[in-house]
Amino acid sequence: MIDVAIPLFLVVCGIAVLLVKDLMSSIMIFSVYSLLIAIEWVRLNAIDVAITEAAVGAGISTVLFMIILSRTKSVEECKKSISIPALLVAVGVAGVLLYGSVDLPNLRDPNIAPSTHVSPYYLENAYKQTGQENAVAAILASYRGYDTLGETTVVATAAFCLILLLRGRRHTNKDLKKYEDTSINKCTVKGVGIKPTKTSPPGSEQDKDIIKKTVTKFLMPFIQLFGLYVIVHGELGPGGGFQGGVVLGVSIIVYSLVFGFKEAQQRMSVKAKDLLVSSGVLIYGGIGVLALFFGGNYLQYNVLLPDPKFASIIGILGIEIGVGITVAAVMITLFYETVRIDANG
Amino acid sequence: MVELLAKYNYWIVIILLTTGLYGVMARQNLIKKIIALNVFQTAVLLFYVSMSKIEGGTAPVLIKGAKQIIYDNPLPQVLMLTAIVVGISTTAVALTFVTLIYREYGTIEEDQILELNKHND
Repeated sequence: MIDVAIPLFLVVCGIAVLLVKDLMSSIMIFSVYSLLIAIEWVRLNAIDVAITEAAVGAGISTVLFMIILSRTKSVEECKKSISIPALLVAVGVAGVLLYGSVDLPNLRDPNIAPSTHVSPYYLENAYKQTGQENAVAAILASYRGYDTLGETTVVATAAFCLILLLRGRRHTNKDLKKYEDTSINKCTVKGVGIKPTKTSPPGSEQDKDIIKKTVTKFLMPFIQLFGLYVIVHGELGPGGGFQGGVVLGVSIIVYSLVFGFKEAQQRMSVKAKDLLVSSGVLIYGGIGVLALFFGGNYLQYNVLLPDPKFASIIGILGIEIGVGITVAAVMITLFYETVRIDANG
Repeated sequence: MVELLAKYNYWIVIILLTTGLYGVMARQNLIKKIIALNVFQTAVLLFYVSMSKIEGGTAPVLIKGAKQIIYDNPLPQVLMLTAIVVGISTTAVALTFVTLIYREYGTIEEDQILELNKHND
């Protein structure tokens, strides 16, 4: 029954996101939508995807949208609510897709094409060839290692784009100082708990923040430990670089949200995370080049050490760590760079 | 029940996909457009991951010593896992462009931006 109910809720949320005029509510509904789809991933046994979606969809993307909203306008100024041509196109596309879906294979059938071609080979040989008990990690890091290298590079490139687009505008020292003052406390969104601390009377600020600060301090080591565990555990169970990386990134974002941007700088400076973005990709590419030196192909892990299976495990662990570093640093970059945008600037 | 579920997720995907498509086309607000694009993206993710589920299957993590276990298809999961992370990164780039547009025009409504462009020409 839940397999019927959750997708229905998804549709309700998806339509509500577009109908609501207030952008803030729209973002909150989208956050619920992401959480629901994370549950749907668990129902579909895609646990690795669920970990990532819960951290990215419900966490980072909501924060990102809220920051951007606080830097722009929060109410949609739409005069007419329904656009007839767009509706016609959408209904037309839905009709064509519905017609096409008649010929699509039945879901959950073990004999459909997606499950019978290359996947049985992966499932059968993943452990023998790569030493990974988690088939998802084996495919990600070994069978489709080039793919993953490309994706990691794309993620890093997005971070570079943000840095180039937003940081290139800082020219003078005066501007620099202005940006350093910009903590998250300044980004006030109507109706959200984050209020500017500077306007509140002395003393009350400490009292107001004490619960969230204490809880954050208490939770922080556990979140980060979980992130590291997920990265390293990819070999044996659900987990890997992408999943653990986003969890680690979220931990710094939460810290920064609660304690302010300045305080977070002391834990993870802008320079350090800039370095980490590229060093993760470098570790990934470096392991590939290392394999070339040992006489193998690019990213052929089993030549790295005398024992091929152990070498494969170590090599995959290495690139998972590389991916984890890059993804965590990129997530922090997305937050750091957007939060430093000056609303008036 | 099984009969109903055989195509159920396809319908959900189609509804979400067209909702997202409609939002991208009809909404004038740029942030709303990006949210709609995200809805569109999750519809595609759902399409792939729905295909990975097999009746009676378990998550694709090897259970040692056990025979005759059906595992779900790991391949779509791998592809969508990375797509989510790439998706948030590209969304962030799009949102950055929105703020730059806001700085330049003082608005994030598409029709107003086009109007302003007309006056500038």
